[in-house]
Amino acid sequence: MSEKALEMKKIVKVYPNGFVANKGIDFSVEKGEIHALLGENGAGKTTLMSILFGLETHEEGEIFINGEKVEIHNPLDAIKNGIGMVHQHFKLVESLTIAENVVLGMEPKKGMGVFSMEEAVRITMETAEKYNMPVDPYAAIESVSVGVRQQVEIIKILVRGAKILVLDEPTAVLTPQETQRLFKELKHLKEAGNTIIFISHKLNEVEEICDTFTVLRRGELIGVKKVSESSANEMSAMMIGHNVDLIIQREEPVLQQEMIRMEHVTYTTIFGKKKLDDISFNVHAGEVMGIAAIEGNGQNEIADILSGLTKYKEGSVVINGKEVKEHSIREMREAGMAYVSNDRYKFGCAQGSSIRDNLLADRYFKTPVAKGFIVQASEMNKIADKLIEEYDIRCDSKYNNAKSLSGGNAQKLIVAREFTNHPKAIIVNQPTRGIDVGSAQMIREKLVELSRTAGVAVLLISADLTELLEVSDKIVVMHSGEIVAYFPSINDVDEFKLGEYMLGAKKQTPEEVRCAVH
Amino acid sequence: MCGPLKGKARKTFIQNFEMFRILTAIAIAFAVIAVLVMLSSDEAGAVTYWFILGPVTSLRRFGGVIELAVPFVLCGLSITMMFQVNRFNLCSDGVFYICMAFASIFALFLDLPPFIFPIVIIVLCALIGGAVALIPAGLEVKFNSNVTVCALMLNYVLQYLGRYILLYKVKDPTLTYNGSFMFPDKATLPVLISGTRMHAGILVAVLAVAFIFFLLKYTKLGFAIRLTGKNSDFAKATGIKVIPAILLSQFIGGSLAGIGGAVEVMGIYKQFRIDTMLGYGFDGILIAVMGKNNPLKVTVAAIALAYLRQGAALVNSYTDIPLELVMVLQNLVVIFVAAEQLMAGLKHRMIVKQSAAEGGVSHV
Amino acid sequence: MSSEMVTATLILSFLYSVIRMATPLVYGSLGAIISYRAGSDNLAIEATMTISAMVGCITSIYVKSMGLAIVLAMAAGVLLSLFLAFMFLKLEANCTMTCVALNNFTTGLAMFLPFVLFKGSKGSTMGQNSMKFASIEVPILKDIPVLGDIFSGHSILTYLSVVVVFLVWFIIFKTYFGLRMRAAGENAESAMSVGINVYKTKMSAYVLTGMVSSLGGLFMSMYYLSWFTARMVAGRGFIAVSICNLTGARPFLALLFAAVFGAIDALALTLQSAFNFPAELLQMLPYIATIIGVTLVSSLEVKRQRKLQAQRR
Repeated sequence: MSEKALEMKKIVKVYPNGFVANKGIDFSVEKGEIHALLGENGAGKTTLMSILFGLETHEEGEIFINGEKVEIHNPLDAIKNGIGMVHQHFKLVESLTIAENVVLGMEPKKGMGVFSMEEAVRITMETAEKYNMPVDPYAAIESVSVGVRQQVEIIKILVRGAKILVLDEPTAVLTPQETQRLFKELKHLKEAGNTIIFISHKLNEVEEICDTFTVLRRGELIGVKKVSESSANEMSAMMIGHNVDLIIQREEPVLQQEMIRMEHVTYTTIFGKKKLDDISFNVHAGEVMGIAAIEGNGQNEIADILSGLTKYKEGSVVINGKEVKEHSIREMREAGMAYVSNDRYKFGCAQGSSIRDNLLADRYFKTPVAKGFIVQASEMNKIADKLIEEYDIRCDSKYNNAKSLSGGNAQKLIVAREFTNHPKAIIVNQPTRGIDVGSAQMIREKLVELSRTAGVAVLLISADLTELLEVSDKIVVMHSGEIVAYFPSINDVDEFKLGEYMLGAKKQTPEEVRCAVH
Repeated sequence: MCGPLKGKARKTFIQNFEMFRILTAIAIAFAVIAVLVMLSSDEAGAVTYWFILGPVTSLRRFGGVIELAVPFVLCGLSITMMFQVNRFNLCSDGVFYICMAFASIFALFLDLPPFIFPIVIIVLCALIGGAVALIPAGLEVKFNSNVTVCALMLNYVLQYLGRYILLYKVKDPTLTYNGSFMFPDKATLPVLISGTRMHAGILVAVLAVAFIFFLLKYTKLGFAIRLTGKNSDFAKATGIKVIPAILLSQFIGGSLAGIGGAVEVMGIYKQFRIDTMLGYGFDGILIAVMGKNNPLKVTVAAIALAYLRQGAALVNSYTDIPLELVMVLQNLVVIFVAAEQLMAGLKHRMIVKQSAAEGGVSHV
Repeated sequence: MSSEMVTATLILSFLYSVIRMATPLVYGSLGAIISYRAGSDNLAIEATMTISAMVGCITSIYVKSMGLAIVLAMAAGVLLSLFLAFMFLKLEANCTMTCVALNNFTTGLAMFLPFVLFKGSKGSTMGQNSMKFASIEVPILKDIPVLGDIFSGHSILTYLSVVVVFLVWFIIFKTYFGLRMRAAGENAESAMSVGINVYKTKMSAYVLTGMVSSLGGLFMSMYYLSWFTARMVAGRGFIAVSICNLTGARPFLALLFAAVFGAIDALALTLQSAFNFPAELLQMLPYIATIIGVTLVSSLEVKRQRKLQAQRR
């Protein structure tokens, strides 16, 4: 059985900003298999699948379906060629019923433009029953769980005649029970002759249901193997690779007083999903602690809670002696909290405001800028000029909008502000993602410098393991809302080891994890 | 792919283009009007003369421009403050009207020494105006209701309340029209230049412009309001209290419209009349949009609109074309200026062309 | 006449005017509902009603044809509606701002045109010989006491409004176009992903909006009064939008709410004529009721969303 359902040959994708997301990738899937597409964030998997589904155009390369060359320019072409995609963010209309969502765009009619609900229900149930997905066709999407929504998406693409199903991290939003049910359904689909491409970075899941896997790293094809002939260790080694060039010279940290302390914090969203489960750790002045985690495993919630943007109910969070929930964000900032959000343009700057105003947003109200209720332009200009110079923010004028800055310079603007308002505890989340190498290196050096010379406690959240190992003194690893490992010294750890914990292949004992508070 | 324009060249190009776009919008609106005039009037020449040159044909006529600019500036600033935090709280018109009514009550029922009297009335009306503007703003903050719908409904409520005050509280029964008793002299604003009706309200308007300019540019509150308007999530993350900033800007916006009403009734009419629901609050939208939320530019836009209106008033008096034509014109301008994508295609082509000329085109 | 008789007559005439006052609100709110289902609050219903009221009335003065008056009035409503949709869907103008400007634009036009055409008073066709819809005495019904007094003797537009409510409901919920429109309005991205032309769908919805709301405008200038004045719609377009919000954009419920607002309107009129209560204070009632209603519904909606989220677990 070596018939190819899909072949993508020498796919090259260059984004307008010059970033090469796919560097000549060959990717092929055999008919009737579940094929895992593995890779870290930014490895190029989403881009590759977007090309397949017609959401992105590729510069070079060809696509073959069942051996025939096809041109895919938009999602409709993809559907016509039997390719269906279940996106991470479902494309469903909340107030419509399940049956209506399933047939949307290809509605059965009774004539005179009248929509036939009976026929829609029949179509829905036919497919639903065939693949053993019991849904209530009359239920509105807004009233059903995430698991059911995903089933609806799968039914939707099957009804449209998809033979190749692409599932983009389908388990990220599911509970363990729902995941098990999904796997059963996927096996069922496979037995019925469908081909499934399963994008994930959860290795245990890949081992459980996939036949073959392809690994991408930094836009390149690393390898293709049968799951039965490989192991989780090998997969993770292929995904993460080895890169141990530590550049920054660091002295040993001199521990001072405790600055950040999280104790038994559990956080559940209003949707009822548990995002953090009994998190405890602390960070001292003078050291950098890293949090390693794959996107969506609770690290963003930690950052939001520490910055005061998300209110927590259970547990205690103390920064520089102040309980976060009992103080306003401004009070916490005055106590030395500084925050670099991963969502640069939402929480990090106001693109419509001038560069100067952005630089002064956290200190416009106090001396030396403010005098009484007045803000002094001369002082503002002085500070802005100094920061622009010091952090090498490339701009024509400090009066231009922040919108005019490139990504790297916008991030330099943000750190210039956050690193210079007498910080005691800095929380940085993905500070260098998507920015140029020079700016990234400068930000990393600043973080180390601040911890060593200014006695700042730094909490660095990053998915970039090279960066974590380069900057951190100690590391905790998070997986699905829990701390699964704690390494008191980075000498005991490498990227490979971190990867195993990040991907959920390994877990330390509660006692070892408990050492994160000391 | 084309490389971006570099630095200053890019900025001036975009500014120029923005100006070009606005001028085009105005040209489209004028073209529509020209067609309407030609279709409906046989005195097109006279219409054009009075419309364009009428306001500068005498001191009195030019005075009319300045008189009109006073409420326009105040309402333009009022809307500017509302828009500053991205709220379409369009209650300024109702506030303007109701504060005329309240000013008449204060003028007729209070008794204070000269000079202080009008100042007290202005302050009281500012407070009332601010409080009224907080109704829709507060309902939105607290209950997430549609601020525009509430504000527009509130305008009707205020209009009837104003009429009620006029007919039942301050009406002079000896008049043949619905009007209040004349205000005592000490409760009016003195005329500054004889031969015109240009009154001390001009000073109030100038003060208001200076105040708002100063507030937005040089105060802590102004900084907080501006940042909240540009990105409230970011403002919150830096420790700004976002909701108070929103409410305060709305309060100030309402106050400005209230001051406008008080100044207008004490300066021009010196009594309260039913036919004075003038829609200045809505003119404020055009002024704020054209003034790009900058108090100084708002002043220029207000004077320009006042000139247009005075021209239209003269056209109204000397030809067969009514005043309301300007209302048609100015709202067309608002719509076309608001159309962000108007000529977006042209802009894109021009950027590409200019990049090519500067050798900025690079292929990847 | 005994005082009971007076009261009874008063009540009957009150109920009669409830229906009369509700009619334009029904059409307006149906227009608002269609736009809302297609994705946005249409604050320009006021303008749509005003322009169709004017065009209908003026056409009837010149042409003396009821049919042509109706057709041209609807065409004007549709054109305005399409212009709005084009401005904010294609040229990306801010929808609220465009609506407000369109309302003021229409008011200006409505002041200007009648004056230019008739050289009479500004913004009014009073004194011109315009046509009017007839009051229909419904056979049989008119002879039934009480019911006849209340339900008979309205214009054709009033009776038609019930049919239009049904039609709009049918289009929104029973046709495939309605389904696509709801999908495009609620989640344009999803609709696009299954190949629906969102722009075309929304534009079609705005055509419908224009057609339906213009009937409300016609009612104002060709039945409610027998002439046109520039401000005669008097915020009914906004009340219509509020009714749309209050009912969660449900046509039949909108019929009921239109009656409620019609009743508030009629109450103001009745109280004023019967008890000599200051008219100005009573006239505030519908607008105050709208503010309260809109606030109530939005706060309930927030609660409903929370509950739904909790339920999903």
